[in-house]
Amino acid sequence: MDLNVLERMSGRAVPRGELEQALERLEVVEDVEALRARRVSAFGDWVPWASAAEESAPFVDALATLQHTDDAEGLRARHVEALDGWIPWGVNDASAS
Amino acid sequence: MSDAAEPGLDALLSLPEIGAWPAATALLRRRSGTGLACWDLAFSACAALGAPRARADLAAGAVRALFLAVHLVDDMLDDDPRGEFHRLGPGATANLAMALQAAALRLVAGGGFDLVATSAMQQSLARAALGTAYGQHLDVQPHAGAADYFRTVDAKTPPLFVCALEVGALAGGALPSEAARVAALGKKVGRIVQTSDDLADAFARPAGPDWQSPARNLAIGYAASADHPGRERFLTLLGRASEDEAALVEAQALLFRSGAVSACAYHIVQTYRSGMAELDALELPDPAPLAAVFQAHVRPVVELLRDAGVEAPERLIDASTLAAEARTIPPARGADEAGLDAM
Repeated sequence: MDLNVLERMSGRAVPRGELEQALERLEVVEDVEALRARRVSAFGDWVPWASAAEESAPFVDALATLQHTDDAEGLRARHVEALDGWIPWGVNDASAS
Repeated sequence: MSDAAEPGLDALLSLPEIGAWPAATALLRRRSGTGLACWDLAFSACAALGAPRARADLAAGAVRALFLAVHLVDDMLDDDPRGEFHRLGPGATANLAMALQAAALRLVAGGGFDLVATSAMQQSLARAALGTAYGQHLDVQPHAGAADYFRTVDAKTPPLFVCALEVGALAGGALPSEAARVAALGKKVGRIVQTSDDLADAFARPAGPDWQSPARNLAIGYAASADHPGRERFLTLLGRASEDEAALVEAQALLFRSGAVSACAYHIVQTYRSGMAELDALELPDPAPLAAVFQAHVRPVVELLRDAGVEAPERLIDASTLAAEARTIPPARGADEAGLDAM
């Protein structure tokens, strides 16, 4: 929901802050409920690589190793570090994504 | 990085209006990070044609100006707290974006290329500007899932990469038809970049904006929609992840256990393989500079797999090493496969 639309509809300024946060939360809830109800199309089968006929056993095993890591937090942190400055937006940050 | 190491920048700054415009010059001089900027692909394409990289200076400068124009507007659309519009104001920022877009066209018009190449470069820049703007329009519309996600990603991210490759190839002496084939590789590069960007956003702390829009991020969308045992828990966490760090931490761990991170890695590797196959089929005089682009973009995933304990992951992503190791397995399930199909 866009506060600017609300402002145009009501003809007056809508105060930011709590209302904006409440609307953002409402959007998330709507998304989550749509996902829960499977009204959102799936982003893929679960572990589709495991049933990909052309895929090699070592690569399937590698993806499973990544999935079942016992160091998710370490991998997450180090991958964030690795990607810092790598995303080639090339200006000041990754904000063009 | 000094101007001397920024080919094409001097030509942009020598445009009278740009040179006399402090906000424009300051923005054009800015560059951070060690990654390959999208305009650098112009040099790679030019070199792949067997031409000296310096012949792509103006082409790269034009893409740089166009990219910055897109960047300025994108920040306004996203209400990004780091956006220039907070400092310059939205009107002045929009005006600067228009100026940079025009500067890109003017740069190639005065670049001394022949008429065919000049016309093709201008068309490429115009397609990239229009395509990206349309993609940004799609990006701010409601998303209903994977189909919307991939339509938006393919519309908004690749055009600048496609353009950089096309104008670089044209600068290197390619005919427009040949340059178009080289440019098609940019679609693959754009998808790899966007998937890596999704992972970066999903892994960020505090929570990035994608946690508010799960259908706009491949990792979060996968964990929220694929049929894995932790899905219901992930959906419960999803509603709180933006405000509750403990929920975010648990949800990010579930990104791994759900297979979402592996799904992103799989998608990147699939796209890398198909991109390298397309590159091979082009039979360019020197494909190495473009192969290096793909290798640079797949490297973070290779390192992620290595970090997870996978031995020699670089061997696993190379399709040519896989054929002999292919195994017999059951046929793929028939559910919605839109999300992770190869392009």
